[in-house]
Parts: sequence; structure tokens; C-alpha cells
Amino acid sequence: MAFPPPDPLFWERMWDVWKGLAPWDPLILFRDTFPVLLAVLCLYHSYKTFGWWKTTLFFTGSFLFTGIEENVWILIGYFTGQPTYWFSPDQYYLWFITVPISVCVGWFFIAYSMVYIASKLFKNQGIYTRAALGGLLAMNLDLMIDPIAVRNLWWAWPQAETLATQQTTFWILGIPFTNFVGWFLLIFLFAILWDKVPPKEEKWKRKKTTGIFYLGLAGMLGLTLAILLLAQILVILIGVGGMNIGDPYFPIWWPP
Amino acid sequence: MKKRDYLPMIAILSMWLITSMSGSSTPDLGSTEAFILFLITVPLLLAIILSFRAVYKEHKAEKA
Repeated sequence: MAFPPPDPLFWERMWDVWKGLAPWDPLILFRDTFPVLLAVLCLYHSYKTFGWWKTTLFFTGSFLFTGIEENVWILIGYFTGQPTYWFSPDQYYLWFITVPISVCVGWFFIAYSMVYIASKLFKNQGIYTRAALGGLLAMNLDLMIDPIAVRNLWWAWPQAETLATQQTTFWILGIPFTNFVGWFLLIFLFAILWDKVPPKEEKWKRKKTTGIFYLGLAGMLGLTLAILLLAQILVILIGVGGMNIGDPYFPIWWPP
Repeated sequence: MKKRDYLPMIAILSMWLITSMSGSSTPDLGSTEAFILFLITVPLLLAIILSFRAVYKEHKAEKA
């Protein structure tokens, strides 16, 4: 079985939240709703701890920040004809353009929980240490999620399809390393922004602080994408394309 | 401090648990690979346990 390329109808319905491509399956419904349930737990905790304004900033910020970053990364691959990755159209019901909504809310509760856990463990350390720990913990979780996800066809890394395209990236456990760099950077940068900007509310007033927060997000989005592109270029320059940390147990994986 | 302070850790632990359960029934993932994936997430599990402990200690100190 070869992994099916994204259904043409998927692209026709790109802007639809409900694309209607997945057949009825309780497991898909569970996969779509379980992260939402976990996000609700974190939203409740955040609302009670920080109030509605900061909670809204964190939720919309992490949802949009990571959702847009993932969409841009996928669409760059689609429009350049060199696919980066994609989510299987028949594995989710609800979508934010080309990314499942469960993935976007997943980013929220993972970012929120990891930043919280880091703040409990490194209470007396500065924000950069706490943000780095939060990013590393999130990356650690994804080291388990990604190898399982690709084997269940929840999403795919098309570079794995042929030997020639495998040479274009450096792999960890059969997953492109840029994925893990992205996980770290998104949580690390978001945690710093979250720590630095909202506390300025008293000085800047709420409206201005909100604007600066979202501007900061846009800047960090650009920075993340630039670093990922640079990392990809470095792989080619250094000549480590096709190498995989994880052999022999985790080969670069593509459905047989 | 309230009991809700455990919620972020519960959320991550639930995610870890569900992913592990998916992993155990994943095609093309043998028992060695599954065990390696478990080992890889030991730092995360440790961090979760320690943060549970930290919150518990904060609760206890507040009560005292």
C-alpha cells in the first residue's frame, strides 16, 4: 500500500472547516475531540489563574501561531511541488485550512502545560531557562508521537517516499529533524513572548499590549520559518542528507 | 492553590497515555521500537512526576 497523495477534493475544499472526506469512524471522532477536551481543562485552569484576557491571548496566540506556521509549511510544499508534509484527509473531520483543528488545540494545551510544568520545576530560574525546558519537554513528547503517527497514517513526510528525496533531509527516528527543531522553537519563542508582553499591560494599556503581542507572534512566526529554512539549507551544505539517527529500529518510514 | 493546579499535568499525562496506547496497536512498530519510544519519554515522565510533587508541596506549605 502506498500512502495516498492528498485528495484533489481536499484542495478544492481547502477553506472548509468540514471537508467531508473522512468516512464515519468513532476513532476519528475521538482523535478530533480528545485534544479539545484536554484543551478545555487547560483553558479552565488558565482562566482561573490568569483571567480571560491572558487566557484569550494564550489560546488564540498558540492556536494561530502554530496553526499558521504549519499551514505555511504545508502550502510551501504544495505550491512549490516539493511536498513538505501533509495530514491525511481521511483521518480527521475538522480542519483549520490544511491542518486538523485537533492539532492546533493540541499545540495550545501542550504549550500551556509544558510552560506551566517548566515554571514549577525551575521556579527560581529566568524565563529563558524555563522556556528552553518547556520547548525541550514538548519536543520530547513529539519524539514519541511522530513515529507512531506516521505509521498510523495520521500524517506523512513525503520525503520518505523515495531514496532520492530521503537525501534532502536529516532524519531522527525516521522523522525530518526540522520537525523537532520546529517543536522546540515554537514553544520556546512563544513562552518568552508570553512572559514578556502581557505583564506590560499596566504601562501600555490593554489594547496596545494586545496589538504588540500579536505583532510579536508574527515576527516569531517569520523567525521560526527562517530558522527552519536555514537548517534545511545547512543539511545540504554539511552533507548529512539521508542520515537517520535511530537505525536500525526506526528506518525512514513510508508505507510498503 | 487549588486542586485545579494539577490540570496541566493531567492533560499532558493523558496525551502521553493515549499516544502510548495507540503505539501499542500500531502496525509496523515492534515491541523493541515501542520500548525505545517509552524510554525516550522518560525525561518527560520524570518532569511530570516532579511537577506533581512541586504543586503538592506548595499546597502543603500553604495549608501549614
